[in-house]
Amino acid sequence: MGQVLSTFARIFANPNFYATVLAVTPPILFAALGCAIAQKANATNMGIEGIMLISSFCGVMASYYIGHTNPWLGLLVSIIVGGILGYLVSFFAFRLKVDIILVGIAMNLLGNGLTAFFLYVFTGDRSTSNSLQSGTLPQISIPGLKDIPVLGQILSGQNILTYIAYILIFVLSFFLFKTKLGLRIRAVGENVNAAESVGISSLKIRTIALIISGMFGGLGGAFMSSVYLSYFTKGIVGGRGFIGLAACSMGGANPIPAALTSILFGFFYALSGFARTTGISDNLVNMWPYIATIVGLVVYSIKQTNDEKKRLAGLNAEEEPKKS
Amino acid sequence: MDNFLVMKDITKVYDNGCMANDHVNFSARQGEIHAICGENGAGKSTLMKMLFGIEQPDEGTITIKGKTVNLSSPTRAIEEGIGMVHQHFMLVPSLTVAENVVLGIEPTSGLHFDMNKAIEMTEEVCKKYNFNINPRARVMDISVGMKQKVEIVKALVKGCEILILDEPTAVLTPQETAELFQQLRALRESGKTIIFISHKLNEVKELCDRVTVIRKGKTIDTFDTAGVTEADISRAMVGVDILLEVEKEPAQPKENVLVVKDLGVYNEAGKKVVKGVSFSVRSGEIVGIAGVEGNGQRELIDAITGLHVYSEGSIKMLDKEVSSENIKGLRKLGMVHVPEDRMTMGIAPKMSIKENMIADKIDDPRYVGRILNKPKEIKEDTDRWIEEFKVLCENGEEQINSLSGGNIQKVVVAREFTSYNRLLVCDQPTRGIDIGASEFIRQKLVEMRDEGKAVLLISADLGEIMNLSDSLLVMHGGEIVAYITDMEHLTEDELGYYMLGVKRMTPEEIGGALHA
Repeated sequence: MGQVLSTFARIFANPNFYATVLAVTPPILFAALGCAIAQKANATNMGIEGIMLISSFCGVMASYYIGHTNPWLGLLVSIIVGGILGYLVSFFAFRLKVDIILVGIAMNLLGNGLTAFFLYVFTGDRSTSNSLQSGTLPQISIPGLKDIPVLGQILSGQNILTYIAYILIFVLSFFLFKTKLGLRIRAVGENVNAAESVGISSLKIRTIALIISGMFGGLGGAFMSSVYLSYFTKGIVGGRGFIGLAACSMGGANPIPAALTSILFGFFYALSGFARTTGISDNLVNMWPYIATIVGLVVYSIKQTNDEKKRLAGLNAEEEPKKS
Repeated sequence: MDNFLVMKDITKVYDNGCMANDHVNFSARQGEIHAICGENGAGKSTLMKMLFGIEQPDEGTITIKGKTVNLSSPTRAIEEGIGMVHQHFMLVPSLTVAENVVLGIEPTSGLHFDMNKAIEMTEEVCKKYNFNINPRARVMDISVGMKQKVEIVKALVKGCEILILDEPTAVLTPQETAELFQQLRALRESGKTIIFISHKLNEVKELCDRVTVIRKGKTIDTFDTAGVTEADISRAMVGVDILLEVEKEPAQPKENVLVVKDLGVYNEAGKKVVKGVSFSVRSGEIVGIAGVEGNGQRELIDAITGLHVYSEGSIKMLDKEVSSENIKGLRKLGMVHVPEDRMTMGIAPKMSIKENMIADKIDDPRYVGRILNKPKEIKEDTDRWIEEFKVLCENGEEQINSLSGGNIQKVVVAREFTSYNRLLVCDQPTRGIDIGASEFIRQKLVEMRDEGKAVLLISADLGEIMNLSDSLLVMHGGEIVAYITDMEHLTEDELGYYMLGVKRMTPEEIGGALHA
């Protein structure tokens, strides 16, 4: 027991650990932010995992075949493909009126099958496109910051897409809460009749929200194949889309809480990575992020129920004195 | 200007063949408050939906200031200067008042949504028309009366000339209603035309300049309210002045079937809407429940029929606690339910008449064998019921939603009354159906009573409830405020006082509703 504790103490004392937390969080964060904007329009983007997978694959293909392993081209293609897939979700769910959860499930199944199939077609390899390099996006050292001990070690030298991920938290927050379109998205999500009755097209608003959501998925996909790895491998997303979905709902579909929850999950990802090197069984360690998700959802649900109870108690307390 | 707004020969037939409006004519002047009165299902709401562009008329024209307009959507209607305050508020709870007010016409500065401008716009309208609202408050935190003001401001900020209010006082307290009326009068002074939909005749008399009465999809007449009495309007609404009284002997009540004791029920929003209600229903009597809609009757009935949980007190059906039984268990005990909303709760619209009649009897070995249905027996009995309950149809195999409302209700009644029953819970059993079907159902209810069934009747039709009930409970604000046993000497006026909470019996008198 003492030995395990000291192992953890060593991990937590290591600045590299915190740098890793920040480095492994972005795909979850992109997914969570993407889900958040869709959720605000009351359009659950269950298919985020599949969107990430397909856009990641397309990005690698584009960068290898067209861009001579230019990762920037891959990134651009990933974002575009993500946006198109987001549009598809909206088309099926709101124009053809298929249940949006089913569309999401279909998207995830499609993502698995389609990428595995085309991977084989293009490379003749069933699991990785190791032969198709996508190139990696550059890391950035932040002048000034990088020389500060510990903090510099943690914050500087991350990948550019990592920085973009954290910046996007605030961009999305601004978009949702401070712009006209954000206001409309929230109105449609909360009371679609109210929005329609003042002439706002819920179809249009939800389509926009899902396209942006898909683009976030595209960013997450690109991160997997051009930052995390430099090629595509089967099932590369590994449930990060779903974990992002969980983080989004635990954050009440608000960008900042959703981001904090994403970082918490990132923490467990990093921890499992570090613990692996200390001789704790791989199988045990690999479970941690997922266990954290389940525990997180339970805690969130209990909190929600309590808050609701408190709100109702407040309402009734307010009612009583009015009578007397 | 007499023809500020003219709706001429408006006809609307819904997909199910229901003729909601049949050559309706309506016109309003600038700067008047014009009431539209009619019973439930008379076609008032349909007419207003067409004026606000939610529905389009099949025939007829709408002209505003002499110009024919094509109101193809609410957006178009808003552009033509029409605003509507819906019965169910069209507000986004988590947004502020100002954000709700400017939704659809949001001011921006650069990328930003301009919150200050939104507040300014809201305050400007509030000041101009003397509304007292805090534009920064979140809609979820404000009272119902306040929400309604927000709805009105929302219409005004878009520059509406014609304001439609659909049953605006249904959700308001008397004080809020008085304030609303004051504001509506002020709006009239500033030249707005207000269309006021209501079936509260005293309010129509008090507030409106003119009233148009619609009955069964047709305009009956337009009166100056000053020249008519409430009784005149009500006669025009109902049509014939006479209510066909159902003949019945005095009740012979026996043992308690349903006993409700100190019942407390909370609605979805967590508000206590049924407060300490106690009464019993005995076999061989019809107990009526009267009250203005929204005073707890809905939740009370849902609790009794097992559709809504209750947290305080007890409901016992033949000595069994209702909350510990599921719906099937309740039906086994003999509780049957004719629900208020027959289209969603009463029937499966796409199934046949016969299937609907048999739907609650699929456990009965008479109709269902070990594996397969027994079509012969089903046909035999359903054919008999169709005849007995006078359902007008071809052969009972057609989809039930091809029938008229009255005939659909007869099917529901036939199903419920032919099941094993000790207690019949009938919620608005004759709402919106023709006189013939209504008479038939009322007759049936009395017959069932005479057979020794207990009947709990909820009805907004005062004539009906006064005629049928052997004793009457009146609900107001979630409580029983009167228990009336002397039905013969009860007048509508007196009942009205109880319903509006003006009069109230002593706790001892009300306690009489619970029989030992």
